[in-house]
Amino acid sequence: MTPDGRRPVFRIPFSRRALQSDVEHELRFHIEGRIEELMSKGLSRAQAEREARARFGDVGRIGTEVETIDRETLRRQSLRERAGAVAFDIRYALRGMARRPLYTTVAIVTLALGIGANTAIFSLVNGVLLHPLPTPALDRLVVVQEDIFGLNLLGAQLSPAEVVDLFARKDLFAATAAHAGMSANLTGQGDAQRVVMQRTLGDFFGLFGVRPFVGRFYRPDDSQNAGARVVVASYGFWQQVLGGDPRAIGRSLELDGTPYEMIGVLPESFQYPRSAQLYIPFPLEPRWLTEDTRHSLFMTTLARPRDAISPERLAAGLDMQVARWDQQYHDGGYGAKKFALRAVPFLSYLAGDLRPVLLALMAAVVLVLLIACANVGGLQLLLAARRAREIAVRAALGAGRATIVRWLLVESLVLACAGGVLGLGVGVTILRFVRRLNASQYRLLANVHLDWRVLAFTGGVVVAAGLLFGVVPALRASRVDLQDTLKDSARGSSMALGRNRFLQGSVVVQVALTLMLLLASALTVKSLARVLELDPGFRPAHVTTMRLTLPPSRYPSNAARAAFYHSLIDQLRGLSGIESAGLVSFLPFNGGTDSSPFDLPGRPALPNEPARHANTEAIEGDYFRAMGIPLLRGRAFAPGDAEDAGGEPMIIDDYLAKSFFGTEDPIGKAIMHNNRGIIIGVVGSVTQEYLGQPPHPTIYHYYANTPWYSSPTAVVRSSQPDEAVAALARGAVRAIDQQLPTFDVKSMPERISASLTPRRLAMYVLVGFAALSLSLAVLGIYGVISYSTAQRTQEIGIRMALGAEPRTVTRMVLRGALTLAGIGVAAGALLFLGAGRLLASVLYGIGPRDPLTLASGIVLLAAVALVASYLPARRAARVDPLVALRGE
Amino acid sequence: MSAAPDLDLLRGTLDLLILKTLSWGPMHGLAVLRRIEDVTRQRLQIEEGALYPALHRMEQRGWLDAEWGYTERNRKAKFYRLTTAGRRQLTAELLKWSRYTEAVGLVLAGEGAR
Repeated sequence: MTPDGRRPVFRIPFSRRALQSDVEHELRFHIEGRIEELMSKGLSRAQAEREARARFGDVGRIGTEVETIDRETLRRQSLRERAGAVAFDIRYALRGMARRPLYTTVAIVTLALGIGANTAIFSLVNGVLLHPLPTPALDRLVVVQEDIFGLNLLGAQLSPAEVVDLFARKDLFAATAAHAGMSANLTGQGDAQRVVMQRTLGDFFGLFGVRPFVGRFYRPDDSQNAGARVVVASYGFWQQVLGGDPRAIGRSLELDGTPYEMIGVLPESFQYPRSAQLYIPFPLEPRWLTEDTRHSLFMTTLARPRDAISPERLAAGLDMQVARWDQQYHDGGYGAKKFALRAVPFLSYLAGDLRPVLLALMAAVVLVLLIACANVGGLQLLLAARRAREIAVRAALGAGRATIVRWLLVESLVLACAGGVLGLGVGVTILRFVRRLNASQYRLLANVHLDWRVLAFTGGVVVAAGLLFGVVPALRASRVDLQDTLKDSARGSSMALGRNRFLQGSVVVQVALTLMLLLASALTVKSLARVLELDPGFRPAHVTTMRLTLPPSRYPSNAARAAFYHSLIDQLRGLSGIESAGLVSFLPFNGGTDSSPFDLPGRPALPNEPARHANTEAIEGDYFRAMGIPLLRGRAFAPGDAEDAGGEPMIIDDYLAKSFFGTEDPIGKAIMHNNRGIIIGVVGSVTQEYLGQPPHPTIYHYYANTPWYSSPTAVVRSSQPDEAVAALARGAVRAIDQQLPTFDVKSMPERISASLTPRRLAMYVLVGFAALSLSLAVLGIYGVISYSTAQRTQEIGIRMALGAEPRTVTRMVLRGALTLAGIGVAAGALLFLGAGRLLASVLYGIGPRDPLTLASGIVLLAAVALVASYLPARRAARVDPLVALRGE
Repeated sequence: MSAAPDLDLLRGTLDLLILKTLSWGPMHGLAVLRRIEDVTRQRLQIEEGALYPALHRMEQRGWLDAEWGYTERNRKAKFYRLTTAGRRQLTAELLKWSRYTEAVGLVLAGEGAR
């Protein structure tokens, strides 16, 4: 028998049949042995066999069972062996990396930058475009909007009556809800403060599949009659205002003087709309269901279409709903509204103007990764050339091609993993920077963090990158000519030729992609510069703004509000250091307008004139002077400018005047806008929401005549610092009403800057990427040219021995490098001309094919390629022919 | 011929018996069985076929090594040998078994004393 301690050579046979016969043999041996034993005790052969089989049991069943066990053993064994081999490769790779610290560091940092950039941008895409809310199947939700063509009003909200009609369409929708924002003054919780609320209609919480974090939610029918006096808090409000106290449930909150019972808290992950702090049932009073209020479009309408409803069927269903309304409300002027309903995916609605920016950035970041991979792929090849002997030795020792490829691939993947780990750090850093750009309008960006989806994405990128830069070098290097490599004791130069083509390819790819990023970033920089040059129509410097809301409980009448506005302006005017002050109902760059149709009695519509529809502004005090809006004709409002026999005095903007009056003087002309009016002045046009927005007619009313606006913004011009002005203004408000909160204190330049966030984001990130890839390309070109000149040392030596001037040699090397760069530039320019459309929505005032930008990008990149290859070219020219020819 | 066995084999004890038997030296399946029969003077009834799944499962767990070899009568047979892991397992099983019999013994003794 086997001597103890010797490792048995037996292994379970590989093939299924061998395994089966082994088992058969073992069992047969047992039964035969038994039979012999029994026969020796005097049984006949037949008796013995019967007895032996009876004792053994079912041979077939046991055989199968044993085979199954063996197959599993076999599987585990080969798995263990493979894992062992990979573990060995990993250890080997780590040791190799430690031996080449400089190379390893360059490769890992390059990969980390590429992977980190992808992690960061994908986090943005994930947090903003894909999963901004924890709602299952969020991509199925739609926002129903109204396009009113007659008024040139696209993407409008809906009126409560329309919302209720849509709620009844159970054939189209599985769930529906609507919400409308408002703000209220919260009293009884320390200082009076203003809170942002949402009034919701329908199954708002159910639609999002959200569950209460504490307490409960109200139900859809809590909107009936005057609405239940219950309130649900956002997690943020509960934490900040109520101190995260679970006993706050059941407490009473006083909102605009009315007590509401606090019944529940939303989870932290649910923040929609981002600014909302409190949610109450929308009081569905009877007036909201009358025909008169069908023009009041203020509810954002959300729905989850039934699973069976395709987008086309949904569109058809909405068209039918419009047709039904047209018939029903034919007389009330409703039919003249001429509109359509449109279902927009909730996700793109939520992302708004960030969407095109993020998509462009995602495309750019893929380019960055490709550049990093081309770069490291080139490095790997150079390394493999230097290691040709090591590879040849392993091959000579019996490693097959597959083994060598696996070994080199494992090395690449280990490198990629290290790059990935470091890349997560890079990604977090980039994200921190992006969050700093964040402005209140783009709260979505604050939501972005690394979750498991991002980590999974990064993992995928790591593997893809490792394969991308690893496969070609591994395949190339494994095709070793044993004889040649081992014979040529100096270096593996004999393999260099074929490999050079891939090396050259990596330079071309890097140059091409870098040019694309360079052009994209240059275009966004120019766009931002053009946008910043735009005149918003007022002078934003030295203007501080501050919002306030008059609660109806304490300012119930128009007279009370008018009196407050009047005395606030008086207070502000009296303060030293304040040049001028005014109030306005809808401050420009504050993301909101109120617009309504107007008419010009006695002036028939011209064929090409814009829709007779204007933004409405109510102003008080020296609003025009405070904002720096020029008065072009007539006069501004003055105290006592009340309605008189001629009608309510109104001021129009230059765009309205030019569009509807041409060269005629509009002063003294009649105008119908909510009221019968008379034009007393013309002021310069103002950009209302964002720079680059097309102009819209605007009509200014005097607050004294329209005091129903209860949430004005105070506008103060002063040469003092913003904080000092804000303190002065706050003091002025408090001097009149101790309990009135002021909020959203910002300077006008701050508000304009916030509106530029998507542009800034695109610009900073693209410029960063372009700079990054430019430096990678420099490194790549330098490395490859150095390597190939080193390979040609002998050739250069011969040339010089035959009388070539050093200058000629330099020129020869440079020509080679510039040829590669030229091919890269040409390819990059062509690709950019094809793909530049992706950028169009991010650009302003400049086309994606701007020739000047294109030319300067090409020149810059060519210059950089020249510089990167000059050093190796000069070094080549210094070759000593004697040394070179001696071969070492 | 075969005397009626006194005891049925308790579930799970087959592994223990195999490990113990193999601790005396490498042997093939039939030899393991014969050894158990000899020692117990045929008081234990074992369904002989059940031995083999047990042996192969223990091989899978790394408690046993197996190797084809030849018997004294020059027949080809598969021999099993205890590995280091198998030895460790045997010690553990023995400890478990003694605790078990001790506990059962205590209960049975205690019943009479009540």
